[in-house]
Amino acid sequence: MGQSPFEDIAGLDRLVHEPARLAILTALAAAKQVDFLFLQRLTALTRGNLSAHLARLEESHLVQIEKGFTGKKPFTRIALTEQGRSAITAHLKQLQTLLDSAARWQPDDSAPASEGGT
Amino acid sequence: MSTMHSLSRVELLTRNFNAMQGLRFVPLALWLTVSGISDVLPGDKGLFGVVWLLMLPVCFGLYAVAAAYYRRQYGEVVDAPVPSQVALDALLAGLVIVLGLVEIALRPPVSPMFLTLAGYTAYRWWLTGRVFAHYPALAVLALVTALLPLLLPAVPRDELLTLAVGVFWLANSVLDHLALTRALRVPGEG
Repeated sequence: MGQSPFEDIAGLDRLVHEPARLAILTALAAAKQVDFLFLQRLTALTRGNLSAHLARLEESHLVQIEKGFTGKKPFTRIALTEQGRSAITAHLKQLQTLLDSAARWQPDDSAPASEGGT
Repeated sequence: MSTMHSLSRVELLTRNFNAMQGLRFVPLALWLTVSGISDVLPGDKGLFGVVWLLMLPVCFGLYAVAAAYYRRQYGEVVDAPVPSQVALDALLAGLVIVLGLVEIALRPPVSPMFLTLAGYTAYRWWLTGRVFAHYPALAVLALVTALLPLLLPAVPRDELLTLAVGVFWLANSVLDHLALTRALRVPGEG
């Protein structure tokens, strides 16, 4: 922890903390596997945007993507890897800790006033 | 706290996506409701009984059609390998049947079946993060139905039992569906 909880926000993993990716990883953590369409409906992202976020997560080995066909119909199924599960669990824990400490935080009166203060 | 709230909503929607596909149960709930209505109405039900039985496989067929609709419109979720919800739902279904039989045989002053349904619906509200407002409303409905024999002893309870279960199931299914479709957006639906 730094001097104030707000300084610790800078230490959050940006790959996971980006809002769309955080929502995707949270959804994946709540299921064994989901398909592309479900994630699209859940996040309201466009196909291209969702694909880009998933590609980024796959490159980082946080998710695994399975593509195939059921008959003539294509499918894309996504699941968390073990690494991804650890990452989202740790991230949510860190986020909760930050929120808790931010709620408890009291400014230090002995500290010099901020530059923008009146 | 809105970030954590949104994330918990995402988690709850994913975890309960399959359980909240209410349209799948509407034909079966309607089937039961119609059966309840026929119990209440006087008269010979010879032909109705045959048609009613023939409609059961149709209801199961419609269950599959509704499941396909959800897959096409909202995608698929394979639940995490903690099938506690499925086990609990199966246990509840068994318990409701047993308590229904107990109710018919022993005629207790309050309905144990509807008390169980009220408790389970309240539990389901808690389980889904107290987000969906229809669960407490349904729990109250079940509780009032449970107390009906006590409040209105003149009401013929055996005849109304099937109807009450059918209406409760129907309301639960439709409201689950509406809650799910409001939460998951389909492009072009605003």
